[in-house]
Amino acid sequence: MNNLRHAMRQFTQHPGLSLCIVLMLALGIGATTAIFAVFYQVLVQPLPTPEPDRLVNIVRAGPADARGREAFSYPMFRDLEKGQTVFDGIAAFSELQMNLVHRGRAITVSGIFASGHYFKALGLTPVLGRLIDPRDEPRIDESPVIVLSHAFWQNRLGGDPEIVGETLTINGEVFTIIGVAPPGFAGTQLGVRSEIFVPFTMIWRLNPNQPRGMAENRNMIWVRMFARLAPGISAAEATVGINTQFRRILNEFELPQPTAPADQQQQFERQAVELVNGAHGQGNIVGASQSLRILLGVTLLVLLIVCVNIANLLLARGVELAVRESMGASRGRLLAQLLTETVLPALLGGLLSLPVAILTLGAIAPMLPARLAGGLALQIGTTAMAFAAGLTLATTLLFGLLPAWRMARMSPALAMKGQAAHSQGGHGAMRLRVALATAQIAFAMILLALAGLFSRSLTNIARLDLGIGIDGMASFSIAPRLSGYETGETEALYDRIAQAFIAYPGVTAVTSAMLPVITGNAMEVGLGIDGYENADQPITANFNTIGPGFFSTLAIPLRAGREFNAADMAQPSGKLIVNERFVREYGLGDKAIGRRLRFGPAGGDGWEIVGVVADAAYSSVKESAPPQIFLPRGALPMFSGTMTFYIRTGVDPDALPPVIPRIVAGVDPELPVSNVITLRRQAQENIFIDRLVTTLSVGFAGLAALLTAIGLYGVLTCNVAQRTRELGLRLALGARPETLQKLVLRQVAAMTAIGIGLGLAVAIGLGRVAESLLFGIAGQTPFIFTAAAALLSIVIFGAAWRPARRASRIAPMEALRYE
Amino acid sequence: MAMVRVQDVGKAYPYKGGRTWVLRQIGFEVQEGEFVTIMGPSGSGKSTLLGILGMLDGEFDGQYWFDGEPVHDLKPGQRNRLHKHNVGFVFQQFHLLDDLTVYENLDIPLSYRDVPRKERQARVAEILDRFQIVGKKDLFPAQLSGGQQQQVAVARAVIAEPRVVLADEPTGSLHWGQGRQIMELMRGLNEQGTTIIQVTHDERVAGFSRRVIELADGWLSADREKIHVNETQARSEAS
Ligand SMILES: Nc1ncnc2c1ncn2[C@@H]1O[C@H](COP(=O)(O)OP(=O)(O)O)[C@@H](O)[C@H]1O
Ligand SMILES: [Mg+2]
Repeated sequence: MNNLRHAMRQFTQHPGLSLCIVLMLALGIGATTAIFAVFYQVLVQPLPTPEPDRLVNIVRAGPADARGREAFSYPMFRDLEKGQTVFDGIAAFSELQMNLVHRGRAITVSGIFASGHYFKALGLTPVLGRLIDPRDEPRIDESPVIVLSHAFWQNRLGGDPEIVGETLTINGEVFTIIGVAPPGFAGTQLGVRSEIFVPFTMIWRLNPNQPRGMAENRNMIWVRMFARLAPGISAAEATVGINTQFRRILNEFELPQPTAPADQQQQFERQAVELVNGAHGQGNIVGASQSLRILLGVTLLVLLIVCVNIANLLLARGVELAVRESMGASRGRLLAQLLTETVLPALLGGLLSLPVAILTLGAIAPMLPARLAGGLALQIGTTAMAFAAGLTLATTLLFGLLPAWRMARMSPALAMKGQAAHSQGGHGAMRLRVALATAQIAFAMILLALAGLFSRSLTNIARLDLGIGIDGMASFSIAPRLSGYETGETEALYDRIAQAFIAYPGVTAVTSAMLPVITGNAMEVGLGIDGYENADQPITANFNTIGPGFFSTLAIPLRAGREFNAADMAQPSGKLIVNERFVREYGLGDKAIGRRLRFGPAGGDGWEIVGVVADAAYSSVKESAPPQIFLPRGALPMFSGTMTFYIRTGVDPDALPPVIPRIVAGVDPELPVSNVITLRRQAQENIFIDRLVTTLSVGFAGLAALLTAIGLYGVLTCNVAQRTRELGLRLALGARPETLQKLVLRQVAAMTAIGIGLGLAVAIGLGRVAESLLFGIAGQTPFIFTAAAALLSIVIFGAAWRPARRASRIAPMEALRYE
Repeated sequence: MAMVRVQDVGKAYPYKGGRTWVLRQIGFEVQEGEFVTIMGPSGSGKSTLLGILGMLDGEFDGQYWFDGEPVHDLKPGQRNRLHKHNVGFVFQQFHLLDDLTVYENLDIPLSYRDVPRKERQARVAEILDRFQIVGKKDLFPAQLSGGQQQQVAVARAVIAEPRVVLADEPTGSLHWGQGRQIMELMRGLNEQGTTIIQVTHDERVAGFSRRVIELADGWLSADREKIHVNETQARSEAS
């Protein structure tokens, strides 16, 4: 009988065991593959371009988290672009949500302003027409051409092969389609799938909020750059080359006045650019790399537990192998048999791991913010599949060959003697199995401790008082300036929209603000306060412009004064509202109302504080509220182009999102609506990393505990069976059954103590690594570790209970019948 | 030439930093066609010796020639080959493979010897017939009584036509009634020319062989030919 048939037989004759192995493999490999797929996409996958390793991001020298590190002024970009010789083109880009109308349908798309060398630096070739090149940006505002992403062309335009030459309307301007980018390319920014590309010089035409002065102003830094190293030029050489040029430009245009303070001079001297790896594009998802590393580690641990479990199950095979050897099987033959036997469950487990991975991704996706879920194609790609296959292979070898390795060290003559009576493979094998089970306990302990830390951290976050009544609320954003509204027209539009919603059944209040709350968005301004002097510290505050009834609608308590009314909107009346933190920070005490602030140089009337409101999660759930000022919606026309509306309803807020686009369309059918979401959901999305890490780590830790229990149960059952004679003898010699039970439990206690001790040692180290992801809790919290240890102990002794009982029920005569 | 010749064979296990000797200076010969019993107290090294004779255990001191081949000099692969062509094993605990039917258990040794499929079928059929277990061929070991299992195990030991069968307490797990049947089977095999070396505690079992080698504490303490006394003679002598 050949190996394969025997393998099938093994499989069908022990359906429970086989199913167990397949299931464990599927879970272990599936979970790991899912996390790997995310990990790969966020941290590893290079851009779909030739030789991505030759791509570099041009950033300012300095700490990696320095603010504005990636941004340069537009003139600086053009100057660098002109004189450089070390690159195959420097690319500048900027991102914008654009309102696009094609064949009468209005949609919001994610667009990129791409400089002339953008596609050249990437080394891409079009599938249709041509890509943007230096011809397309002769002068600012000229050349309304557009390149489509392959996905956009396929999904939105049906892959029409005649599309080149057709026109589209973007933000009210007519553009001609000149080409389609290659498949797979969706811009260079992580988590953003860019759908259309237009020349960089069109940015002022398409973005009404973009001040014209930004084209010449060397102090406004907002342009991001990447480049491709020229052939034969190393990154180090390019760094030297570009810095020489950068310095020359600085000296020519940005030299500080000789009268400038010394520190300003020094700061100028220190400026330099750095080239960082651009193979993965730009940007990162805050906190993602750390949490993904931890999650990948977690799943690998789970997989390790799975392997140990399976190896442990298969180690019980020692005697059978010895018998086969006594019948003439060579070692090679046994090895082949073991491998074939392992291949079958491994194959099935590997196959089943794909649905498990897809389900895991399916569980992850809803926890991601909608933008990110769309931007990261959460799917099992070829790399992830190769990874799963590799894992399957590795696990097969690992657990298939462990028994073989044992066998090689075991004399078959010995394996068949005495202790082997119950086909468990002798004493040495038992010791190995006990050691493996103990290791599992350690692994599970690590996972439970981490899960405990993350859960506690998330509970801490959930307990935070947002200061905003998020229940019963939904919000959405519009950008009327991008649909052709003039500054003077937006105010009336906002009023009409508010009225349309107030008229909707159940809606009790409507308000609006420029920056959406709890989305991590914030804008900072420097300002002066009349009568406040503090030379050391510049006065800064986050600001937002808001509609009438903002605080009452969001249920943010008013501490003093009043909030804005409709009259404040119509005329820029020079009124503003501050929060309590602002009052505290700048020592306004109880005399805040009536104080005046200025954004520019002193003079004029400035802005008068008319209200003080409570601190709230204006921008983020976890960060404490910064000093914040609120201006009336119409006060800064430059910022009135986009607006987020907040609707409070007395009925189910989840019923609102589906009807919001319809209600807005009732006011203006050509006005696209974006970011439709309930505030509760928005608050969850704001802490999605915490939710994700906690949910997954708790899930995986639970799985690990379960697997460990199963493994331990198997080992103990074997152990008791193997010691039947010994235990029976003890009974015959007068031991009480409870004593035997204790004998088993004492062994379990020892394993637990060692396992938990080892796991704890690792967990304490890992806690420190995970600390940056924790909120309101230290990485080494004794309470959490104790709780995890207690929980694991309960699980372990639960699993040990039955084998221990069995030990106490051995019939002495049965056990001693032979010999 | 003796089929089995051992000389100065010793075997030690590591024990508390040093070594403990399980077999010492064992020497004897077994001729083709003999029926030998190894006896001795528990722990005296009988199973260990059998493992060495059966070439499952190659780690021993001294010399062991099988058919003139120096087993002590062979590499594991060569030893396996020699074992495959000459040895069949029977164990106290039967050690049938639980997942395989009787038929498949019998087929296993042939498959390890790369016997062509047709011939394997013929030989399994023949041996089922010879051991009168044709009716059991599709049963699994768990469905058989102990005696029947050992019957299958003996059949399995001889199916590849080994020249020597090594049996470690073949009746140790059986009632005497079943044990005697097994011993009858062994005697039959011996009469057809198979050399048999068995280990037993049981004098009744030893009575089936001519020669008894005794081990005590790892030493060979006696090696005697027994005068074969059949039951009628015994009765007449007693009267
Ligand atoms: N793997 C081993 N390690 C150490 N000592 C062993 C091992 N196997 C057997 N022994 C010892 O060798 C001696 C002989 O064992 P064995 O040949 O099984 O005796 P018998 O079959 O005569 O009862 C015993 O004392 C036993 O404890
Ligand atoms: Mg023995």
